[in-house]
Amino acid sequence: MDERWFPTVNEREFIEQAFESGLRVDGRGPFDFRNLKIAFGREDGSAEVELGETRVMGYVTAQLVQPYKERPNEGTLAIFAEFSPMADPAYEPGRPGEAAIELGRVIDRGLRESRAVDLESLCVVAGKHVWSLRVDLHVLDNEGNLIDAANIAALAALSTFRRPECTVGGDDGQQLTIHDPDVREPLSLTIHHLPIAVTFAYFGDGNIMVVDPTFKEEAIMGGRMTVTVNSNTDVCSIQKAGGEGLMPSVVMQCLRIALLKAADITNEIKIKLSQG
Amino acid sequence: MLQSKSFVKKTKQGRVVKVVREHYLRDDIPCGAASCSSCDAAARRLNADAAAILVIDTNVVLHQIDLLENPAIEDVVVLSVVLDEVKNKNLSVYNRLKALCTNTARRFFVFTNEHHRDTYIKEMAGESPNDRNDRAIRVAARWYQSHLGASARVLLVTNDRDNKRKATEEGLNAETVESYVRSLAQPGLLDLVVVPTSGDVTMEDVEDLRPSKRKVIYIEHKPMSEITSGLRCGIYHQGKLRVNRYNPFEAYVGSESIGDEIIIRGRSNMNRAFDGDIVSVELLPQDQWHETKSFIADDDEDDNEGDVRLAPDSADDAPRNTNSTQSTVASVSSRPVGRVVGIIKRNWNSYCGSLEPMPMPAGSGGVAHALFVSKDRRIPKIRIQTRQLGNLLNKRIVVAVDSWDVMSRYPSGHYVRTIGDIGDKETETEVVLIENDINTRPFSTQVLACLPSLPWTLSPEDLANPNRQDLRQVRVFSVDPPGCRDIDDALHCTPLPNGNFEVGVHIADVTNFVHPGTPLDEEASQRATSVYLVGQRIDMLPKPLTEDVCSLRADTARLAFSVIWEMTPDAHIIATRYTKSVIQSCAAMSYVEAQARMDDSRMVDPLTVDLRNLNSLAKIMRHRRCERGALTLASAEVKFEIDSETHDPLDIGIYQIREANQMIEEFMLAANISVAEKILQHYPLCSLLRRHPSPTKEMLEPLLRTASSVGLNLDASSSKALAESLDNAKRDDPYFNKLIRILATRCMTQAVYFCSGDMSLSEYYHYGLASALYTHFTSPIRRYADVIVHRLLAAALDIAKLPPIFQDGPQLTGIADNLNYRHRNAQMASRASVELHTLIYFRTRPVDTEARIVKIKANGFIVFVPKFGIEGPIYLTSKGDKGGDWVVDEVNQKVTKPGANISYAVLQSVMIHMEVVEPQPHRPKLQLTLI
Amino acid sequence: MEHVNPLTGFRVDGRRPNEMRQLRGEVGVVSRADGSALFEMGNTRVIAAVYGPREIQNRSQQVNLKEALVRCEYRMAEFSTGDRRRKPKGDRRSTEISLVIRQTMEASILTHLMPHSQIDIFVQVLQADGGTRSACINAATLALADAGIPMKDIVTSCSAGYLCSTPLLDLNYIEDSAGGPDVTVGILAKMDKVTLLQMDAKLPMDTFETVMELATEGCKAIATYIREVLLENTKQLECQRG
Repeated sequence: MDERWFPTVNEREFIEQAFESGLRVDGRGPFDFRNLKIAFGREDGSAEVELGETRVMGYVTAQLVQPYKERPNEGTLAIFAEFSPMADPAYEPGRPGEAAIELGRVIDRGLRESRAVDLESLCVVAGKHVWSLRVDLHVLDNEGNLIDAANIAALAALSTFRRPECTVGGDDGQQLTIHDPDVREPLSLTIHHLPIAVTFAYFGDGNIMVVDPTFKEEAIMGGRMTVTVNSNTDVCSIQKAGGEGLMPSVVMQCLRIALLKAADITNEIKIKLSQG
Repeated sequence: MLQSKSFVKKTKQGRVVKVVREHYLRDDIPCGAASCSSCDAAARRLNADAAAILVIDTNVVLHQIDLLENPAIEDVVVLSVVLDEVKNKNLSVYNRLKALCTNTARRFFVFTNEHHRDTYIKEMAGESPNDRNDRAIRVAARWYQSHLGASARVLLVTNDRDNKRKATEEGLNAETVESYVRSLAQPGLLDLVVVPTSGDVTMEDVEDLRPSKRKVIYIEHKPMSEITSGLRCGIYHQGKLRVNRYNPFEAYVGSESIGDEIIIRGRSNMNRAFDGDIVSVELLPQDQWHETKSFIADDDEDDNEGDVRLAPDSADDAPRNTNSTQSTVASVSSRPVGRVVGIIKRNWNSYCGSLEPMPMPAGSGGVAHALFVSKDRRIPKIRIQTRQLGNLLNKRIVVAVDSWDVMSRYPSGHYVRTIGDIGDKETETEVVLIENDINTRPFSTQVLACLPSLPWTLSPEDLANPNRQDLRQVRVFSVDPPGCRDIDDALHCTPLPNGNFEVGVHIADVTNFVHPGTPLDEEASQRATSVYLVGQRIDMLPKPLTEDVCSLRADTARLAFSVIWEMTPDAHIIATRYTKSVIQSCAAMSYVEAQARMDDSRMVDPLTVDLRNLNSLAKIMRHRRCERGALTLASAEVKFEIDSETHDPLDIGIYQIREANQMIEEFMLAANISVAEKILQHYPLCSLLRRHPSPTKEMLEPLLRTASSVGLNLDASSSKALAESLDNAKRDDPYFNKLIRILATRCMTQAVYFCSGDMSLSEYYHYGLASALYTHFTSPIRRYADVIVHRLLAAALDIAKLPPIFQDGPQLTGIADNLNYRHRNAQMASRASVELHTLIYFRTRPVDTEARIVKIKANGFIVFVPKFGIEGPIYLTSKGDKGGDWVVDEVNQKVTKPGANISYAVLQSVMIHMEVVEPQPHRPKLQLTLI
Repeated sequence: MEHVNPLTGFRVDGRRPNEMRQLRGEVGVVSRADGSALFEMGNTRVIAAVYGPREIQNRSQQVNLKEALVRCEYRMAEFSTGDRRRKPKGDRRSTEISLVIRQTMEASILTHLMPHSQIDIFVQVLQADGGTRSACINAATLALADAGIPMKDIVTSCSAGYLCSTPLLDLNYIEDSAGGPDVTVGILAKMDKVTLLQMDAKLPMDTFETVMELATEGCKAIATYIREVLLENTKQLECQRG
């Protein structure tokens, strides 16, 4: 039995009519984000993000591995997302479904391909030892717009993560010693810029657009587009898969709105990081 | 039309892969000739009435690029097949060809024959790639001729005999380069034509990185078993490699088996060894031992004396004289010369520096192979791979070395982290610290756990300790530089009833808090000294200890280790005793304050009286020392006044030495000497002492030569003789004496720590202080050597047990070596920091000032600027010009321009202009010019 | 490596920056399927097969009984790239591309005309030389048209990149692996609406606009070609009928 929640006809019409008057059900403007809260865990590299009522936890771990043959001097970064049934009865335990994989790949593209995290500084001995970072995202409560919340969780976790220091020595200069955090202070990662994901949901013929959809809005939306930008006015990644078609001019308009929103969120994250 | 190109390729991992690529053929490629009516007019480059349109061959480009750059050669068609071949063979020639083609003033046209429908040809069976390319060139030339018809004459220029023959057979006009040039009837051109050799064009510094094309450059290292057996039989020798800082292609291996240093010359002889590696060396046959002309290290901007730097404090700071200007060429160098055959222990580190400028790769994420140039000249360039080239150019970065195999000219490494922008003060300071191996990491939790519980107060157990005397009632005071928070030493001077004085030197009792074997002790032993940079200090011990618990602050009880003498009024020491103590300093004065008190005759309070007594004693002691032969050399220590907000230097000047400074110094010296005697008496084999080797004849030579050129005779037979001659060196010029002393400083050796068991008694001598024995006792807060001496003294007094490490001879020697290494590095870091701030100071303030000539060279001279304590070169001729106009007179130490009657002699005063220039972006340097 | 030769303006394979690779489309290559197509963009070859509308096989997956269920599966043949692929399907990339193709085609299929049924789209990459995503979507469009499934508009897709400061249309494998950005655009041709938009790596916003426009132009050109293929096919069917 499919546990997904389906909107009733009443709910659908209510939300759609509200849009036509320029209102959203929870009282926000069409381009307003919900309240953002970031809390850091006790350990380095863990963060919990609340975007409205959506809750996502991010967790970063690192391990020494052999690098890929084509990139012997770079570390690796992998994003894994897990949707547990706790967040939404529609999710099944076990292997991640399509939505989880899509979430993982979108955030991965935004973080890794745009070179937000400096992977070259994770190299210890080129061709032999590099640090491999793994970001695990756990969705605790799905109230819509998981991608944005998970992205912020990943960024927050990476910003506070510290990896142990290791030195290369020995007779042949190839022996590796990893130092205990008590003996040598661990090092933080080099993050060049913060790519922020902004999700747009659109309705109707593609002429009504809102930012940061809630769960109910997502259920009746015509399509979705996630844009990842940074405060440097660079576009890091875009994901729009199917759904209602959009005019190219509308796409550019969304990008511009996203830039403004991203600047706000970057500021908020920086403030929270300095406090935490 | 679509063609398919397929070929088989071997990947880096060794797999064999078939690569299939598309190849589109077009019909809209213009021919570029003005006389052609069918092709696109916008692309016209070649002249309509040209005598001939040249189609050139690859070899012509590779060999005759100079000729092509000459304006006489015009209307040339460069085929894309030729362009690709040149790019693969020689990158620098390709760049020059590219420049020619993009230059709108020259008429070079690039014709994409590979993608033109009519001129593309497929490889025939059994044809080699070279033959196929040659055939493509001929086909393209033929097409051009048929396309342009009778309006132009197309000429294939090639030196390849085979190609020329086939071309003529096919009905093309073909000529060799020489015959074409001759036909132009310009005699000057013929000189540019390079006579073709049979071999390939030699590759310059460009290294082909493709795996199939790399050549073996270095010899393989011998396996370990062969090295050990070789060492045993004596054909190989082991030692540590030290690269000459001023000429990185020359290195020295100190070998015990030979008893002398083995010289290694040239990169191939160094065989991939780094500075600091333990290597095994094979001697070259003796006929190759002669002194080859050591060439100036290429790819460096300046020669060794080209930079403006602080006046050297010793011979180690001054550049080594690799090419002596004397006429001693006849003497064959008897130093053995060898080459490295194997590396026993690698000394690879992370190095800081920056990337050589290079063009960006295609995609923003494309891989770039960059060359990293380390700030330390002894390290060779390192090749790194990076995908973020834009982020790394013009920044100071840290790179670590991974490997160096026989086929690559440079070692391979990887990027570790970025420090900051080049030229930024914080960045450059951090670079200085990294270069000198100075640990700036915060103290770990383990270390901090060893601290006593804070806030610390005197406990009843401390007072009850029988070895600790309670001296809180004694009037103890300290005199230190202004703003000093870590007070090591304090003194007292009490007149005794019998007319003598009781003088006490109290040193902070650091060993009471730092116990042997604890993490705190290990860390301090590693760091070995506090490092003083301009405006910043890097501590050896955690701040709570240095500034509070151990520091002998005023008005609080503190623990100390005291040396107390009874002295007669003329400073003869009658009795000495040592004890741990508790003191309470009544005043922590600065030198200025103390001096003012002594000078103000109205002040007669007990503290000032004590100061005056000490001062008179100190003067007597100093005089006696000078009698014995202690040298007073002029130090050009430079002091900065720093703006508190921006931390930029506000003012720069020479450090003022007052009487008060000398007074404290005198007593510290006396305390050090007394303690040295005591510990040596009890532990003749494992005491830590300090010696200053006498300078050798060669080291003093420049000084003697300069002095004799101005008619001064210096006697350097002993330190006393030298001191006397220096005292007597007076001229009308008031600065003369100081200058001579400064020159003398350059010839001195460095004082070093050593373990008494490693040297013989006569070698314990301290030349500069003219003392048979010396050690460091008085600054345990900032020097680890003093901590060791404290422990020795405590054991000598039976206060504490001697830690077991003192029984281990080799370990003790290792500790002494580390102390010397760290001390040296701290000094170099201080100097570098001062130089950095000097640069910043002068960046906004060009200044005209007086300077003195201290050394004559062929193309100029070196001057010393007394006001700022720096020295640097003044060039009389432009760089590169070997200075043929000026004549150097060695005997009189003069450089003259005959005919113009201008001459400059050493020690002469000149006016100079100092300003900061930036010959390369982000690499500012201070430049001195004559006014 | 210079992807765009500064002296001649040509790319590695001889194209100009705004030229596409050679296109070739063929309909009706899999006889058992309801609709099938083979689409080639340069050396990238993709085959698509459509089964449907047919009875729903797995009731539990049915979301909306009033609309047809669209399923899509994307596979890469083991021999499609230079070295043998170990996991042809089921790895994360394939899952994501399957999802993307499904959602893109779903937006165009008039699913409300076929309730209680499902449409399966199977796409297999035979040769991969860059731009596989776009080729798959184009092949799927052809296959759906061949199967006679009602669509709002034909969906075409093309990719574009930015190397050596030039926007390049239709990247092949070498240009794709150069590390520059890769923008894939899918449009509904007549309606001129963007339905698929994916981008990775960093681009400043103005450059992005230029690149996206270039890709959109490419899509339109492909749409023209696809229409021709379909017209040709229809004419042939007509002739066969007599």
